[in-house]
Amino acid sequence: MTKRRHHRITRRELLHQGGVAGATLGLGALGAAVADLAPAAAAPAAGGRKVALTEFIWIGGGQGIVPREVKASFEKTNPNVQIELYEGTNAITYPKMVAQRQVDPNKPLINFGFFNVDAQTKGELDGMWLNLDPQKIPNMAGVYPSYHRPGNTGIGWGLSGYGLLYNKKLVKEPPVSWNDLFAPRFKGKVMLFDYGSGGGFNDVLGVAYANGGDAKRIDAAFEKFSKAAQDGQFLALFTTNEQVKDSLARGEALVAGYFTSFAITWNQESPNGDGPFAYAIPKEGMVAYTYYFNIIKGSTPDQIDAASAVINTYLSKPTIGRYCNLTATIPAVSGVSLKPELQREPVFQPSAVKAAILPDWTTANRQNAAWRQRWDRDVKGKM
Amino acid sequence: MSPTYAATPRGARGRSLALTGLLGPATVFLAAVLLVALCILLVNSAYHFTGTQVQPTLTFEAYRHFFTDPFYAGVVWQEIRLAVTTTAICLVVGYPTAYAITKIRRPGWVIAAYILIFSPLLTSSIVRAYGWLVVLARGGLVNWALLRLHLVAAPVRLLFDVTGVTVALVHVLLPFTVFPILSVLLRTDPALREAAADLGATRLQGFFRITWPLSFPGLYAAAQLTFVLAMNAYVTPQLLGGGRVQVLPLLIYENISDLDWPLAAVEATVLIVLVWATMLGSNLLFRRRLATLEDRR
Amino acid sequence: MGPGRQGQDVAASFLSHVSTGRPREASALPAVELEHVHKWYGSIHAVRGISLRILQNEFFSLLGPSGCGKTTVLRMISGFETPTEGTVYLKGEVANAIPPYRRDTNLIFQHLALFPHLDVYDNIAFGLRLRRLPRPEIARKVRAALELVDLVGYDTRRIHQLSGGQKQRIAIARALVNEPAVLLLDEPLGALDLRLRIQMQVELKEIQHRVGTTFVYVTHDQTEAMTMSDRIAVMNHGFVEQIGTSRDVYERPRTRFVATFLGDSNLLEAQVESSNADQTVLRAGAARLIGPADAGATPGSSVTLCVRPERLRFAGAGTASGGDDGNRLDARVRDAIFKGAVIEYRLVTESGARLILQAHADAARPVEPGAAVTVTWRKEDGVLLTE
Repeated sequence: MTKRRHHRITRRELLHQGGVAGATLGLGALGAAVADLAPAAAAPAAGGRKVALTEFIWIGGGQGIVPREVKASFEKTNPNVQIELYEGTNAITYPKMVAQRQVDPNKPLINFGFFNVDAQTKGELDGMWLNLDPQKIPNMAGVYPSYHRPGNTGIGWGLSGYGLLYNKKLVKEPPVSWNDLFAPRFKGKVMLFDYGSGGGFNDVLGVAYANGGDAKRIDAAFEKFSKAAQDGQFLALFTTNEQVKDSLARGEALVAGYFTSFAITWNQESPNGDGPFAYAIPKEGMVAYTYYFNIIKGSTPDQIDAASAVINTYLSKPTIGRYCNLTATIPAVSGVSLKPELQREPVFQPSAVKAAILPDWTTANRQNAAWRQRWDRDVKGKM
Repeated sequence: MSPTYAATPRGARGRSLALTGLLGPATVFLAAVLLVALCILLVNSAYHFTGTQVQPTLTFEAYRHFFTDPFYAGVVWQEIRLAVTTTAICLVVGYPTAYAITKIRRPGWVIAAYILIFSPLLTSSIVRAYGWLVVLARGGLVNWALLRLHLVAAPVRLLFDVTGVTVALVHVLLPFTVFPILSVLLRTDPALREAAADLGATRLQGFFRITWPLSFPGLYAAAQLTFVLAMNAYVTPQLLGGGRVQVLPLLIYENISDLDWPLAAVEATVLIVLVWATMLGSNLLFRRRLATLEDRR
Repeated sequence: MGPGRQGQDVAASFLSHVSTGRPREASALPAVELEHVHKWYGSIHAVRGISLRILQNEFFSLLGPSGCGKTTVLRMISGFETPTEGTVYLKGEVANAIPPYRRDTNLIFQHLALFPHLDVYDNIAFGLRLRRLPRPEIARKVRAALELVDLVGYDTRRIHQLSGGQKQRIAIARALVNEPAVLLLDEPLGALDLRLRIQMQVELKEIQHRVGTTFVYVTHDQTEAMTMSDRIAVMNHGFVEQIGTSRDVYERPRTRFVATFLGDSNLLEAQVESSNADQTVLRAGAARLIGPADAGATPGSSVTLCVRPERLRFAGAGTASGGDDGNRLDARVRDAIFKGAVIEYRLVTESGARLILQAHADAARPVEPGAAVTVTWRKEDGVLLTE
């Protein structure tokens, strides 16, 4: 259903298709220096009063570069604002935020920052997020409509395509479907992201949607995984990048369900830039794993003001572009220019994005704990 | 060798006062932190989890869930088996190692042996786990050697299984096994072995009648320490278990990130009770034996 | 705490066990013999060619300062060290390569080395069990050994519950119960306080009397050695300086070292003027001294005249001049130290030599410090040290 011939897409086409990723031809703005960004408003944030706030950013390769640049330039133009960066993963940080809220709801651990869709939906169910004010964050207008949340509990800025990674030097017949996770030719050579580390459920959801199910009809998918586990289909579950990267590189594993962006960045990191990694977008569609900016309840009005101004800075096209280029993330902001290497990647094509599975995260999150126990018992327990 | 010193009541009281003064702050601090943490844990274990949120209403459903679902019994059983196996291997490897170190005469070699034994402590357990990843993989060093020696026909699964986790845990925990044994062996007067030899004991008889019984407290401490650390191991089963090794610390971590804190608290409580029960049980079991060795100086 | 008053009976019963299987003939073979024994530790020459014979049933002491090699000698007899050169014989058999556990010797260690994890009974029975003796026999022997050291009823005591003296006796019992041909003792009384040490010295001597085993005793304490020993080997720097009875080594020291190590000595440097079968005439500065006859004293040679403090006397009104053989030295009293039975006077002669004189405390009148005196001694009380 995707039209692969569209290698160059206009912004209008994208918007028309309701597509989510912008891949405007990368001219000029490539690698724009964030320090040159004009402040969002002429008036200093928080009316010039001293304000300190904590921003959550992600740990790992390339993730910290743009946040540090934004912090530096923002603090330069707003000397009254002090931003402390808090590095971590969603899986660890979100529970800490909940714990801190129990201690003192008016002193949140984090004031604002990056969160994935898992945390976004947890927070929605949990009342963690403050409603964002589009007046204070005018750049929200540039985000594709499907990345806005009802009530502005968060604002989407990007996504990763969760698909299938494989070793292109060893796999002669690349995987094409979510059901290839169970293909006999990969027996004992499939690696899955462990559920707990923020990924395994993508595999389950992918398989569910690929076979006519969805978040509410998940049983068939679990049964498939359970049976395959018992039959020795899976090499192992992994919890860190290094494990899957190493296993794929050495041919220990041939296929793994994972974020497609890693195949791109790992190949770039390899000597000569030609690692053995490749990704496949399943014909049923990759799972769109989306990212949001959020402000946490309990922050003071001054902190909210400052956080809004910082988020607005992030949402400017050059800044999002730089972040996406550095981390191989698909932008959810229109008119963002990407570097040519990324523009060539299938996963960045609007067709792929359009065909992506957008799971019912709210249901998935309501079931999160139950599914995990099911995973532990029916998949891990059977391996 | 001066029993008269401890016998004077004034001296004894002065000493106990000094001891209280020295150990008091640390004890109070540790006890307070431990007690507060335990209370929070117990309170949390009795809360209600909606599936997305913890609600502070009293219920014991997490306990019921844990104790009625055979899955958790399987996890606990796997964990105990892992810890016992690891401890046993550590003792079997660690005791001769410690004994051998006490027999090294050249100071330079003693230092080299210490560095070798204690080097695992100098690197993080994550780095060590990645090291084992390379060594134990299907195409790794061990399988290469096994294939070369025609001990196996096809590569065997060492990694992503309880085998690899056990091997790596032994590596990680060996210093904790060697150290208590070594310190007891070093404290044992070498003249005792000479006295045994003088009274007609061969080397072997001397070892089994003197060194072995006298090193029992060290062996015992080593076993306890190793067992506790193995029971609480997180990184190694996480990185090398490949999902096949499910132990309570992993479940606790998962449940915390799922916000299912009541279940995590129950699991943590079970882990603590298991460890403490093992300690107390073994203390009772070996009380008499240890008591006879306590005042050995 | 004292040794059993029923000593004779106990010893008799103990000996009846001791003597089983070992005929107590008055063999001429020495219990221990060392022949040109050397011991090197790396580059350290700890024992430098020692030859000695220890007779059966003898109480023999190795006396010397720390580091003189005496403990090494003991450890070579017990088998914990092998001589680098030379031969150790036990009852006439070459023993160099026999391991400790196969030697008919037992050692009492400096710090006793009682087994802390065993009770008194098990400590004493240790050696017997290794020999796989029948249970009742072990029980009988342990009981006899406990009687010997007067600790009957202490069977189930733990080592840490015993006093220092009791530990000492258990160590003795543990060794003697094996009926060794030679009992070796490595300064075993060192850790005891003085009173207990003196008591144990007496007890050890008594025990040796009763069981009749050869004792080889290592000590650095000359009083201890002299109290207990039949013979003493005085050691220094890896050599044996002199072997003899307590009296011999005390009264007839052969070297300066022996003279000074065993008690106080007055040493006077002198030249031999003439010598005959009766006496040796010496000159020390302005003084003319008469020493005993000595074959090694050739006219013109330098010698040291050694006189023990208790052999010096004040030549004065009361004592007249009888028996001084012409030995007279003028001196001044620097100090008088009251020591109970004796008073020790520190004197300095006109030529600056320092002397010590010991007199009975009940002597008519103590001499006051500062007084000018003349000291005298009999010629046979002097010893010529030609070394």
